Amino acid sequence: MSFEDNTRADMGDPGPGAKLLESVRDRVSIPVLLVVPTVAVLLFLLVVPVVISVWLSLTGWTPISGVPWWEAEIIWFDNFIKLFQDGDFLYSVALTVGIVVTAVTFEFLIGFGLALLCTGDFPGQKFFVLAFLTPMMVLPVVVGNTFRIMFRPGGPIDSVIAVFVGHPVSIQWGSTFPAALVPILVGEIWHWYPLLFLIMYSGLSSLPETQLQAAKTLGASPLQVFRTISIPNLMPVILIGLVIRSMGAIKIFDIVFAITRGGPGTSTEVISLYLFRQSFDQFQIGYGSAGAWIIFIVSVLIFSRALAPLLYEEEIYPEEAENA
Amino acid sequence: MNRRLAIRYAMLLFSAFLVLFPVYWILMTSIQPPTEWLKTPPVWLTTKPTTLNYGMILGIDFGAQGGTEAAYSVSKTAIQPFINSLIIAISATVLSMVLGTLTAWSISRFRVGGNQFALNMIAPRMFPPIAVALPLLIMYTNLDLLDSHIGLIIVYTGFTIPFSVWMTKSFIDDTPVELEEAAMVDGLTRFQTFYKITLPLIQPGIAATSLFIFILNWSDFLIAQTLTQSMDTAPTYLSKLFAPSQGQLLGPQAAHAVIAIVPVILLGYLIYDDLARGFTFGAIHK
Repeated sequence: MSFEDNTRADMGDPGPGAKLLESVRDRVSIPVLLVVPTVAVLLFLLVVPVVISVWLSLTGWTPISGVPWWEAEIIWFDNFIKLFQDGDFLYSVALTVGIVVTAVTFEFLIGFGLALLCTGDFPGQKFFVLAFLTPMMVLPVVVGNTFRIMFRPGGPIDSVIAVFVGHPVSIQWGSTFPAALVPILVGEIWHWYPLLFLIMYSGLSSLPETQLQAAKTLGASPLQVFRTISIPNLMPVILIGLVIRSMGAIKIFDIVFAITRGGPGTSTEVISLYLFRQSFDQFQIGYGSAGAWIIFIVSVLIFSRALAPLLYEEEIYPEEAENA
Repeated sequence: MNRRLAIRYAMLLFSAFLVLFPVYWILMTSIQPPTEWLKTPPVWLTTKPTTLNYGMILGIDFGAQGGTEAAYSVSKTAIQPFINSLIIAISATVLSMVLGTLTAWSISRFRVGGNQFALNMIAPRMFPPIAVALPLLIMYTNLDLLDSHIGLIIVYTGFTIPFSVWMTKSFIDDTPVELEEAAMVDGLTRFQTFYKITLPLIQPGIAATSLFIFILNWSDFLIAQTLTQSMDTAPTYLSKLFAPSQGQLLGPQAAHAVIAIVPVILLGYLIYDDLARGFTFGAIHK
């Protein structure tokens, strides 16, 4: 090989491979290329299941029918019509909404309260912040089972109640109806109030110092400062927290599964558990898919409306962003 | 002033006590001998701590004396489920982070797909997991991916990508684009500016996001429950251990729970500053 050949290669004489690469690069920009793998994974995990799921929701397919799922008989919207007449489904929806509203309300109050307690400079602050965050890191299955152990008849909770009522008690928390909601709600609230605590804590520590100072100088009472400065400034943060938490709470499954498995009877069957049972115990796959679709559409309608403006605030309110 | 501080500490300590009690209780149960598991009133602080429960769950004999020699055993030890969980959670985290970081950079710097594309990526999070689990079960049956590591790795990767994209994006948004521009003026290509300039700058953010994603993967129960039959991850194993057919094995159950949560709690402490960012898709950060 001559000296000249070498230099030509060094200067980047494009081989056939390089030419191909260049032509790809010319046509598709690198940023788009970088998104492709992500989109591929999401398509595989989303579009394919969604297509299957839509198809199944329009059929009466069950795995015990012996027909492969793609040859199932189409019954159009019968599943959906039946769902709206199904007392158990409507009950599970009402129950889940009740749990979401109750749990998120308490989570917010507890989270906000503890965040207020932790704001400001005092020794040991970090210890308390970490302590209050701990439940969030516990696996949901473990949360459920921990509260099942604590709420066992004659267990720690009953012993504390016994101190207040003055005689030993043994409550069947897991197997009587309204009582079964207590360990579920307490577990869910304990597990997730830390998220709202964290959100409110970040919000409180980034309040505009100048406004707070100005109000104090002008003689506002702490309560007035809280009402007129803290709350309005915290409003977007509060909304994000509530929306994200409700999105999570509506999917509640693990804790209920661990504590009551939907019982006694079907009295604590939340939506996810109801659909799980319809699909895996009753083998009503088509029916279960239809139920999942109703929930999904309702959630997206509610939450995407609430979330989009918050995540893209500066684009949605450009003139306000410029002023700020 | 001092009185107010004292009241504040009293309230803080009382709250911390209430919040940490369940964790304390699971730790306490895990070192109680069998005779104390179901006592009424409960044994608040055991005088006969034992490693028996841990030995039982891990299939290792620590030479512990179990108070009474109550014969109990678990049919399968927790070692394999823990290994499965580690393999799956770590692989899915790495994949999710690699794909997520590249996507986040594209979205943050080039607005690929506009706002709608990025927002749509959150939509999967609104699916009740059961709605995806069902068709996935059917898909996986046909593709022969049930009971496999790779099957769960793919699902977890996809499920956590919205978080890795949005969280990493918020870190990239925080770094000045001017640095990349300066580097390009100095002759770096667009992509070189990413891995030579931006990536090193957001390293702490990448670490926090990875841990966050790992915690999400480690915690999943419903998907694993649906897509496995013979193979167990730590959460499905725990759930089977708590099944009524296993009796009231509170000690081993608690021991397993402790092993499953303590490392995750410690990881969580490392990134507590960024947890809010993760859960709110980057909307909230200091």
